[in-house]
Amino acid sequence: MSEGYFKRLTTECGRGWTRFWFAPSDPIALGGLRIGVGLIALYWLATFTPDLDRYFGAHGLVPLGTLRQLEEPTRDGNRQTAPEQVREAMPREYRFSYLDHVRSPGGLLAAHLAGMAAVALFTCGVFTPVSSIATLVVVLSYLHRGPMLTSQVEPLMAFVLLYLCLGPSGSACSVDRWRKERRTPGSLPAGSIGPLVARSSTWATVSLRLIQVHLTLVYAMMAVGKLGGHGQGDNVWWSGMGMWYLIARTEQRMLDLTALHQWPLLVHAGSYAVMFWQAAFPIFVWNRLARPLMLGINAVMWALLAPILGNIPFAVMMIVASLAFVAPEKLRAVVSRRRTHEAALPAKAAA
Amino acid sequence: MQTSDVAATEKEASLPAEWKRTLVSFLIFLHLFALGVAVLSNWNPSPLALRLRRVPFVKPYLEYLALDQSYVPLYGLTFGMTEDTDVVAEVDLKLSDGSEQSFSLPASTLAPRQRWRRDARLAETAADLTGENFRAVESLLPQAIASHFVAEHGAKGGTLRLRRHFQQPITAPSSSDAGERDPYDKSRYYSQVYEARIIVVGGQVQLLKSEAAAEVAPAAINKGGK
Repeated sequence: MSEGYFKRLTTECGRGWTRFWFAPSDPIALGGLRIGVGLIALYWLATFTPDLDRYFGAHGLVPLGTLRQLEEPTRDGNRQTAPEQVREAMPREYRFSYLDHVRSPGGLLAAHLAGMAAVALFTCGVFTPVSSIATLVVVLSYLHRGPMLTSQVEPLMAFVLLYLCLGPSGSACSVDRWRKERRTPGSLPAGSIGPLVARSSTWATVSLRLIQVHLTLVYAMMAVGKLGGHGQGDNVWWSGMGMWYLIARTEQRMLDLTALHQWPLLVHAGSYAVMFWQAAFPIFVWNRLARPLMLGINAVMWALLAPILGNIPFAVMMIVASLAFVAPEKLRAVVSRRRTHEAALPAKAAA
Repeated sequence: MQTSDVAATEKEASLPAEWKRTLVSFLIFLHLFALGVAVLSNWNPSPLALRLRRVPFVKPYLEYLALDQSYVPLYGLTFGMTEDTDVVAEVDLKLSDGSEQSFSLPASTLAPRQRWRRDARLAETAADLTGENFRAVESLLPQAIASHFVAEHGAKGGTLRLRRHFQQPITAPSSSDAGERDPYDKSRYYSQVYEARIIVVGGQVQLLKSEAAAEVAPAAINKGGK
């Protein structure tokens, strides 16, 4: 082993790290993610509107006093020894929520509408540096105020929003971009397509990479749970029965596929397909050649699982979050084609 | 200068200053460390993982930003365990005019689905919190649910039950036994995990727990389930 080898090793590792995290990239993917996650957050928040008083009011289903009492026995180490499903639904020791300070129905509605306005501004890309942070605060406030009301979609939404706050998510496909272009015509790079495209940015890369890494972690843990078994029981995924346990949840499902009991092999195939897709995703999505295939399979699998799980926002959120892996050039090409097509329409009509 | 060196220099020019990269790299490292601690301490935690949570700022950072998640049970879809079943909270109220009325949480008519899901999660959490390990807190959520219904309908008493709805085995739909075929058969696929009398004293709602709950054996439960 020569001294040169180690020097080259450290140099190449350093370059790789710099390239991975800091090579400037087009923020168009962040723009797409902002719109997707913003719409999901807006829907999620809108569904709280009829239930504000029912959950958080003086006689609500989740009174603040109960939350505080539940918080006490799960402090520090105690929390980690509780069964995982319980732990997820328990209030955190470190939590904040502006809803803690609002009790009257009118106050709750006002706070709720203000929150929805912030999320709507973020989705449209208005004052994005501020509205992105406001959106994160809004989502976290609901999450911390009613942890036992949350399911899979909320933590996903929270971390994607956190990373979108770091990057220039309002630099593309946004009202902010459109206003900037109107103020300084010609500020965009040559060949750009109006307000939709912004200059490459290092922060866009940092933000996208963090989403990619975190999403990979989520998939990896999904796969580990299935491959390694969870709890002390039979592994329902290895035995091919995982899909049946989902199909047979009568209250949760939106689509009754009980008829599949006649074809147990199909149920087994479905279980193995889910297991291997989730195991393959965190590995092959990093391979440029395999990535489009993985993203396609990912979208199809979530679309198929959504009615069985009865949780469409979760499935949509998983598909939207995987947009972080789509190459910005591809997204730009899609948007460019659309814009060019739209621009050509009036000309054709005039001809 | 070689061609690759020229390209590297050109690329470097578009990168942020080195001190900025160093600072951001350090912050990324801290974030990933905290995330690693969250994952390790939430799934079969080792003593080391639990101690790492106590590193200053790690716990507040993870909890404030809701990064402290157990990804395995949360996104595992199902493990065929007791916790992976549906739960319904049934509230039978005695109203002030002497009549009786029953409610369930989640109500099947609740729309859109996201609203139903929140109620379902609340009922599931209330059921998950029952049992030996949670004696001190098991009545907290049922009491909140009972208080809500009592206040809403001006009731003077009643009963609250939490029932788990277990999945049918794959062989059940083709069974010759009609009861086994019916996924809503209460004697086979439901298990009562909590029952309490609702008592209203001076406007305050109190629960008197019945100890004889959970007498019905589940039908399709994975052997390892609690």
